[in-house]
Amino acid sequence: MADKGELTMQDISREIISRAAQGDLNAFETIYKAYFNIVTNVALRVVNRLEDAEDIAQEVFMNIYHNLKNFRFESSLKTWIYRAAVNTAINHSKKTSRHRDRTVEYTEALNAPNPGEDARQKIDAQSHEKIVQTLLNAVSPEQRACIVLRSIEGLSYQEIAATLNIPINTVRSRIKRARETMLALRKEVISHEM
Amino acid sequence: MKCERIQEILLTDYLDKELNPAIAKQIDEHLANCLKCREFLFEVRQISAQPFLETKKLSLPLESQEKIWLKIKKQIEAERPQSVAFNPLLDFISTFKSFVLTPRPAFVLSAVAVIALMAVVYLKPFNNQEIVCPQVPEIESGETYSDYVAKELFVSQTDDNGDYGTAIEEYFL
Repeated sequence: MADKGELTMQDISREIISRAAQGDLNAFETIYKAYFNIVTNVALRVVNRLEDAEDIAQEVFMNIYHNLKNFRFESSLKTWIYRAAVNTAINHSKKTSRHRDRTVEYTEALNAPNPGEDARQKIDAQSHEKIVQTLLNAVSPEQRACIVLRSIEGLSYQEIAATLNIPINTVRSRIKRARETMLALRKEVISHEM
Repeated sequence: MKCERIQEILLTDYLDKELNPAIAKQIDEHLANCLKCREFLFEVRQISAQPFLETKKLSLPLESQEKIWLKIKKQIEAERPQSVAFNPLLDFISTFKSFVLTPRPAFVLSAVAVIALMAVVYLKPFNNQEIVCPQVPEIESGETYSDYVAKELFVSQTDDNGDYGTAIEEYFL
Protein backbone atom coordinates (compact mmCIF):
# COMPACT_ATOMS: atom_id res chain seq x y z
CA MET A 1 0.00 0.00 0.00
CA ALA A 2 1.46 3.32 -0.97
CA ASP A 3 1.47 6.44 1.15
CA LYS A 4 -1.70 8.48 1.25
CA GLY A 5 -1.79 11.17 -1.41
CA GLU A 6 0.59 9.40 -3.74
CA LEU A 7 -2.15 8.90 -6.28
CA THR A 8 -4.51 11.60 -7.40
CA MET A 9 -7.82 11.46 -9.26
CA GLN A 10 -6.05 12.78 -12.37
CA ASP A 11 -4.02 9.55 -12.45
CA ILE A 12 -7.16 7.53 -13.09
CA SER A 13 -7.28 6.99 -16.83
CA ARG A 14 -10.07 5.40 -18.87
CA GLU A 15 -7.84 2.38 -19.25
CA ILE A 16 -7.53 1.90 -15.48
CA ILE A 17 -11.31 2.18 -15.09
CA SER A 18 -11.88 -0.35 -17.89
CA ARG A 19 -9.36 -2.78 -16.40
CA ALA A 20 -10.93 -2.45 -12.95
CA ALA A 21 -14.38 -3.02 -14.50
CA GLN A 22 -13.07 -6.31 -15.93
CA GLY A 23 -12.00 -7.42 -12.46
CA ASP A 24 -8.34 -6.30 -12.38
CA LEU A 25 -7.67 -5.87 -8.65
CA ASN A 26 -4.50 -3.78 -9.14
CA ALA A 27 -6.43 -1.29 -11.26
CA PHE A 28 -9.21 -1.18 -8.69
CA GLU A 29 -6.70 -0.59 -5.90
CA THR A 30 -5.45 2.46 -7.84
CA ILE A 31 -9.00 3.85 -7.90
CA TYR A 32 -9.44 3.00 -4.20
CA LYS A 33 -6.31 4.90 -3.19
CA ALA A 34 -7.16 7.94 -5.31
CA TYR A 35 -10.71 8.32 -3.97
CA PHE A 36 -10.34 7.02 -0.42
CA ASN A 37 -9.98 10.47 1.17
CA ILE A 38 -13.00 11.92 -0.64
CA VAL A 39 -15.21 9.01 0.39
CA THR A 40 -14.07 9.02 4.02
CA ASN A 41 -14.36 12.81 4.40
CA VAL A 42 -17.97 12.72 3.19
CA ALA A 43 -18.71 9.66 5.33
CA LEU A 44 -17.16 11.13 8.48
CA ARG A 45 -18.94 14.47 8.02
CA VAL A 46 -22.33 12.86 7.45
CA VAL A 47 -22.23 10.13 10.13
CA ASN A 48 -19.57 11.55 12.51
CA ARG A 49 -18.39 8.16 13.75
CA LEU A 50 -15.11 6.46 12.86
CA GLU A 51 -16.50 2.90 12.87
CA ASP A 52 -19.49 3.91 10.75
CA ALA A 53 -17.22 5.74 8.30
CA GLU A 54 -15.12 2.58 7.86
CA ASP A 55 -18.25 0.52 7.15
CA ILE A 56 -19.47 3.15 4.68
CA ALA A 57 -16.10 3.27 2.89
CA GLN A 58 -16.12 -0.51 2.48
CA GLU A 59 -19.72 -0.52 1.24
CA VAL A 60 -19.11 2.36 -1.18
CA PHE A 61 -16.03 0.75 -2.75
CA MET A 62 -17.73 -2.65 -3.04
CA ASN A 63 -20.66 -0.94 -4.80
CA ILE A 64 -18.23 0.85 -7.09
CA TYR A 65 -16.46 -2.44 -7.88
CA HIS A 66 -19.74 -4.20 -8.68
CA ASN A 67 -21.06 -1.35 -10.84
CA LEU A 68 -17.93 -0.20 -12.64
CA LYS A 69 -18.95 -2.29 -15.69
CA ASN A 70 -22.04 -0.06 -15.96
CA PHE A 71 -20.02 3.19 -15.83
CA ARG A 72 -20.51 4.87 -19.23
CA PHE A 73 -18.14 7.84 -18.82
CA GLU A 74 -21.13 10.20 -19.21
CA SER A 75 -20.27 11.85 -15.90
CA SER A 76 -16.86 12.02 -14.25
CA LEU A 77 -15.78 9.14 -12.05
CA LYS A 78 -15.39 11.67 -9.22
CA THR A 79 -19.07 12.73 -9.47
CA TRP A 80 -20.11 9.08 -9.63
CA ILE A 81 -18.07 8.21 -6.51
CA TYR A 82 -19.31 11.32 -4.64
CA ARG A 83 -22.87 10.19 -5.37
CA ALA A 84 -22.19 6.66 -4.08
CA ALA A 85 -20.51 8.03 -0.95
CA VAL A 86 -23.20 10.60 -0.14
CA ASN A 87 -26.11 8.23 -0.73
CA THR A 88 -24.54 5.43 1.30
CA ALA A 89 -23.68 7.83 4.14
CA ILE A 90 -27.20 9.35 4.16
CA ASN A 91 -28.80 5.88 4.30
CA HIS A 92 -26.42 4.83 7.07
CA SER A 93 -27.11 8.03 9.00
CA LYS A 94 -30.88 7.50 8.77
CA LYS A 95 -30.54 3.94 10.05
CA THR A 96 -28.34 4.82 12.99
CA SER A 97 -29.72 8.26 13.84
CA ARG A 98 -29.92 8.88 17.52
CA HIS A 99 -32.04 11.54 19.10
CA ARG A 100 -29.59 13.83 20.81
CA ASP A 101 -30.03 17.27 22.29
CA ARG A 102 -28.30 19.41 19.65
CA THR A 103 -28.54 22.54 21.82
CA VAL A 104 -26.59 20.92 24.66
CA GLU A 105 -23.90 19.69 22.25
CA TYR A 106 -23.54 23.13 20.68
CA THR A 107 -23.39 24.88 24.07
CA GLU A 108 -20.72 22.44 25.27
CA ALA A 109 -18.72 23.14 22.15
CA LEU A 110 -18.95 26.91 22.58
CA ASN A 111 -18.17 26.84 26.30
CA ALA A 112 -15.15 24.53 26.16
CA PRO A 113 -12.82 25.08 29.19
CA ASN A 114 -10.17 27.77 28.80
CA PRO A 115 -6.86 25.93 28.35
CA GLY A 116 -3.28 26.88 29.17
CA GLU A 117 -1.29 28.75 26.53
CA ASP A 118 0.71 25.71 25.31
CA ALA A 119 -2.40 23.60 24.67
CA ARG A 120 -4.55 26.47 23.41
CA GLN A 121 -3.99 25.88 19.73
CA LYS A 122 -4.85 22.20 19.89
CA ILE A 123 -7.91 22.76 22.03
CA ASP A 124 -9.06 25.60 19.74
CA ALA A 125 -8.90 23.26 16.79
CA GLN A 126 -10.82 20.58 18.69
CA SER A 127 -13.40 23.11 19.84
CA HIS A 128 -13.81 24.45 16.31
CA GLU A 129 -14.21 20.93 14.96
CA LYS A 130 -16.85 20.21 17.56
CA ILE A 131 -18.82 23.33 16.61
CA VAL A 132 -18.77 22.29 12.94
CA GLN A 133 -19.91 18.79 13.72
CA THR A 134 -22.66 20.04 16.02
CA LEU A 135 -23.95 22.36 13.31
CA LEU A 136 -23.95 19.47 10.84
CA ASN A 137 -25.70 17.18 13.28
CA ALA A 138 -28.48 19.74 13.71
CA VAL A 139 -29.72 19.33 10.13
CA SER A 140 -31.19 16.42 8.19
CA PRO A 141 -28.82 13.98 6.44
CA GLU A 142 -29.88 15.32 3.00
CA GLN A 143 -29.26 18.95 4.04
CA ARG A 144 -25.99 17.90 5.72
CA ALA A 145 -24.77 16.29 2.50
CA CYS A 146 -25.43 19.53 0.56
CA ILE A 147 -23.59 21.63 3.17
CA VAL A 148 -20.62 19.22 3.20
CA LEU A 149 -20.37 19.22 -0.59
CA ARG A 150 -20.68 23.04 -0.77
CA SER A 151 -18.89 24.37 2.29
CA ILE A 152 -16.23 21.69 2.82
CA GLU A 153 -15.71 19.99 -0.54
CA GLY A 154 -16.22 23.27 -2.44
CA LEU A 155 -18.61 22.03 -5.14
CA SER A 156 -20.83 24.51 -6.99
CA TYR A 157 -24.63 24.21 -6.84
CA GLN A 158 -24.61 22.75 -10.35
CA GLU A 159 -22.00 20.14 -9.36
CA ILE A 160 -23.97 19.21 -6.23
CA ALA A 161 -27.14 18.82 -8.32
CA ALA A 162 -25.29 16.54 -10.75
CA THR A 163 -23.69 14.56 -7.94
CA LEU A 164 -26.91 13.96 -6.02
CA ASN A 165 -28.99 13.73 -9.20
CA ILE A 166 -31.48 16.35 -7.95
CA PRO A 167 -32.67 19.70 -9.41
CA ILE A 168 -30.49 22.73 -8.63
CA ASN A 169 -33.42 24.41 -6.83
CA THR A 170 -33.58 21.44 -4.46
CA VAL A 171 -29.89 22.01 -3.67
CA ARG A 172 -30.63 25.71 -3.05
CA SER A 173 -33.61 24.90 -0.85
CA ARG A 174 -31.69 22.32 1.24
CA ILE A 175 -28.81 24.73 1.81
CA LYS A 176 -31.24 27.52 2.78
CA ARG A 177 -33.09 25.32 5.28
CA ALA A 178 -29.85 23.99 6.74
CA ARG A 179 -28.51 27.51 7.36
CA GLU A 180 -31.83 28.64 8.82
CA THR A 181 -31.65 25.71 11.25
CA MET A 182 -28.08 26.66 12.21
CA LEU A 183 -29.17 30.26 12.87
CA ALA A 184 -32.12 29.04 14.94
CA LEU A 185 -29.83 26.78 16.97
CA ARG A 186 -27.53 29.69 17.75
CA LYS A 187 -30.50 31.87 18.85
CA GLU A 188 -31.80 29.02 21.01
CA VAL A 189 -28.41 28.71 22.72
CA ILE A 190 -28.27 32.48 23.35
CA SER A 191 -31.77 32.46 24.85
CA HIS A 192 -30.73 29.56 27.18
CA GLU A 193 -27.65 31.48 28.31
CA MET A 194 -29.64 34.60 29.26
CA MET B 1 -36.74 43.51 -3.90
CA LYS B 2 -38.16 43.14 -0.39
CA CYS B 3 -35.92 42.33 2.60
CA GLU B 4 -37.45 38.85 2.91
CA ARG B 5 -36.47 37.92 -0.64
CA ILE B 6 -33.04 39.56 -0.23
CA GLN B 7 -32.38 37.49 2.91
CA GLU B 8 -33.25 34.26 1.08
CA ILE B 9 -30.67 35.13 -1.54
CA LEU B 10 -28.13 36.12 1.14
CA LEU B 11 -28.52 32.70 2.77
CA THR B 12 -27.75 30.84 -0.42
CA ASP B 13 -26.51 32.26 -3.73
CA TYR B 14 -24.96 35.46 -2.33
CA LEU B 15 -23.00 33.65 0.40
CA ASP B 16 -21.87 30.92 -2.01
CA LYS B 17 -21.00 33.36 -4.84
CA GLU B 18 -23.48 31.76 -7.23
CA LEU B 19 -25.14 35.02 -8.33
CA ASN B 20 -24.64 36.66 -11.70
CA PRO B 21 -22.92 40.07 -11.43
CA ALA B 22 -26.03 42.10 -12.24
CA ILE B 23 -28.12 40.63 -9.40
CA ALA B 24 -25.12 40.70 -7.02
CA LYS B 25 -24.86 44.45 -7.72
CA GLN B 26 -28.57 44.96 -6.89
CA ILE B 27 -28.10 43.08 -3.61
CA ASP B 28 -25.03 45.14 -2.72
CA GLU B 29 -27.01 48.34 -3.39
CA HIS B 30 -29.80 47.11 -1.11
CA LEU B 31 -27.30 46.16 1.62
CA ALA B 32 -25.75 49.61 1.48
CA ASN B 33 -29.12 51.11 2.45
CA CYS B 34 -30.59 48.41 4.77
CA LEU B 35 -29.13 47.92 8.26
CA LYS B 36 -31.45 44.97 8.99
CA CYS B 37 -30.20 42.98 5.99
CA ARG B 38 -26.55 43.92 6.75
CA GLU B 39 -26.95 42.52 10.29
CA PHE B 40 -28.62 39.41 8.90
CA LEU B 41 -25.71 38.83 6.51
CA PHE B 42 -23.17 39.30 9.32
CA GLU B 43 -25.00 36.74 11.47
CA VAL B 44 -25.30 34.21 8.64
CA ARG B 45 -21.62 34.53 7.79
CA GLN B 46 -20.52 34.18 11.41
CA ILE B 47 -22.72 31.22 12.31
CA SER B 48 -23.31 29.14 9.21
CA ALA B 49 -20.45 29.96 6.87
CA GLN B 50 -17.31 30.99 8.80
CA PRO B 51 -16.92 27.73 10.81
CA PHE B 52 -16.85 25.72 7.57
CA LEU B 53 -14.30 27.98 5.87
CA GLU B 54 -11.70 27.07 8.50
CA THR B 55 -12.57 23.38 8.53
CA LYS B 56 -10.08 20.82 7.36
CA LYS B 57 -11.09 17.79 5.34
CA LEU B 58 -11.27 14.70 7.49
CA SER B 59 -9.92 11.31 6.62
CA LEU B 60 -9.37 7.96 8.24
CA PRO B 61 -5.83 7.02 9.32
CA LEU B 62 -3.54 5.05 6.99
CA GLU B 63 -4.07 1.90 9.08
CA SER B 64 -7.81 2.12 8.40
CA GLN B 65 -7.15 2.61 4.69
CA GLU B 66 -5.07 -0.59 4.62
CA LYS B 67 -7.50 -2.51 6.84
CA ILE B 68 -10.50 -1.60 4.66
CA TRP B 69 -8.62 -2.48 1.47
CA LEU B 70 -7.80 -5.95 2.84
CA LYS B 71 -11.47 -6.50 3.69
CA ILE B 72 -12.56 -5.37 0.21
CA LYS B 73 -9.94 -7.59 -1.46
CA LYS B 74 -11.02 -10.58 0.61
CA GLN B 75 -14.68 -9.97 -0.23
CA ILE B 76 -13.97 -9.64 -3.96
CA GLU B 77 -11.90 -12.84 -3.98
CA ALA B 78 -14.62 -14.69 -2.06
CA GLU B 79 -17.18 -13.60 -4.66
CA ARG B 80 -15.13 -14.94 -7.56
CA PRO B 81 -15.97 -18.52 -8.75
CA GLN B 82 -13.68 -21.01 -7.01
CA SER B 83 -11.64 -23.54 -9.11
CA VAL B 84 -12.67 -27.12 -8.20
CA ALA B 85 -9.90 -29.57 -7.22
CA PHE B 86 -9.26 -32.43 -9.73
CA ASN B 87 -11.39 -35.53 -9.08
CA PRO B 88 -11.14 -38.37 -11.67
CA LEU B 89 -14.65 -39.73 -10.95
CA LEU B 90 -16.31 -36.29 -11.19
CA ASP B 91 -14.29 -35.61 -14.32
CA PHE B 92 -15.48 -38.87 -15.95
CA ILE B 93 -19.13 -38.18 -15.03
CA SER B 94 -18.86 -34.70 -16.40
CA THR B 95 -17.31 -35.93 -19.70
CA PHE B 96 -19.95 -38.67 -20.05
CA LYS B 97 -22.78 -36.25 -19.36
CA SER B 98 -21.49 -33.79 -21.90
CA PHE B 99 -21.07 -36.58 -24.48
CA VAL B 100 -24.59 -37.94 -23.97
CA LEU B 101 -26.45 -34.74 -23.44
CA THR B 102 -24.71 -32.54 -25.99
CA PRO B 103 -26.18 -33.05 -29.50
CA ARG B 104 -23.44 -33.89 -32.07
CA PRO B 105 -24.24 -32.64 -35.59
CA ALA B 106 -22.94 -35.78 -37.38
CA PHE B 107 -24.93 -38.06 -35.09
CA VAL B 108 -28.10 -36.03 -35.43
CA LEU B 109 -27.77 -35.90 -39.25
CA SER B 110 -27.21 -39.65 -39.61
CA ALA B 111 -30.15 -40.42 -37.27
CA VAL B 112 -32.43 -38.18 -39.32
CA ALA B 113 -31.25 -39.84 -42.56
CA VAL B 114 -31.97 -43.37 -41.21
CA ILE B 115 -35.43 -42.37 -40.01
CA ALA B 116 -36.21 -40.76 -43.36
CA LEU B 117 -35.04 -43.89 -45.28
CA MET B 118 -37.16 -46.19 -43.11
CA ALA B 119 -40.17 -43.99 -43.65
CA VAL B 120 -39.71 -44.11 -47.44
CA VAL B 121 -39.31 -47.93 -47.48
CA TYR B 122 -42.35 -48.45 -45.28
CA LEU B 123 -44.67 -46.07 -47.05
CA LYS B 124 -43.81 -46.88 -50.73
CA PRO B 125 -45.84 -50.19 -51.24
CA PHE B 126 -48.90 -48.72 -49.57
CA ASN B 127 -48.84 -45.78 -51.92
CA ASN B 128 -48.66 -48.04 -55.04
CA GLN B 129 -51.59 -50.26 -54.03
CA GLU B 130 -54.86 -49.51 -55.75
CA ILE B 131 -57.81 -49.42 -53.45
CA VAL B 132 -60.57 -51.50 -55.07
CA CYS B 133 -64.01 -50.56 -53.97
CA PRO B 134 -66.65 -53.31 -53.89
CA GLN B 135 -69.26 -53.12 -56.58
CA VAL B 136 -72.46 -51.77 -55.20
CA PRO B 137 -75.52 -52.98 -57.03
CA GLU B 138 -77.53 -50.17 -58.35
CA ILE B 139 -81.20 -49.72 -57.64
CA GLU B 140 -83.02 -50.03 -60.88
CA SER B 141 -85.60 -47.45 -61.78
CA GLY B 142 -89.11 -48.15 -60.46
CA GLU B 143 -87.78 -50.61 -57.88
CA THR B 144 -88.67 -49.99 -54.19
CA TYR B 145 -86.12 -50.23 -51.42
CA SER B 146 -87.79 -53.43 -50.01
CA ASP B 147 -87.55 -55.07 -53.49
CA TYR B 148 -83.89 -54.16 -53.63
CA VAL B 149 -83.18 -55.71 -50.21
CA ALA B 150 -85.09 -58.92 -51.10
CA LYS B 151 -83.13 -59.27 -54.34
CA GLU B 152 -79.83 -58.78 -52.54
CA LEU B 153 -80.74 -61.44 -49.99
CA PHE B 154 -81.57 -63.87 -52.77
CA VAL B 155 -78.28 -63.18 -54.49
CA SER B 156 -76.42 -63.84 -51.19
CA GLN B 157 -78.22 -67.15 -50.72
CA THR B 158 -77.42 -68.18 -54.28
CA ASP B 159 -73.76 -67.35 -53.65
CA ASP B 160 -73.72 -69.61 -50.55
CA ASN B 161 -74.67 -72.54 -52.77
CA GLY B 162 -72.01 -71.73 -55.32
CA ASP B 163 -69.19 -73.96 -56.55
CA TYR B 164 -65.98 -73.59 -54.52
CA GLY B 165 -63.95 -75.10 -57.38
CA THR B 166 -61.66 -77.52 -55.50
CA ALA B 167 -61.85 -81.32 -55.08
CA ILE B 168 -61.48 -81.31 -51.30
CA GLU B 169 -64.29 -78.84 -50.95
CA GLU B 170 -66.52 -80.97 -53.16
CA TYR B 171 -65.64 -84.03 -50.98
CA PHE B 172 -66.81 -82.38 -47.75
CA LEU B 173 -69.90 -80.88 -49.29
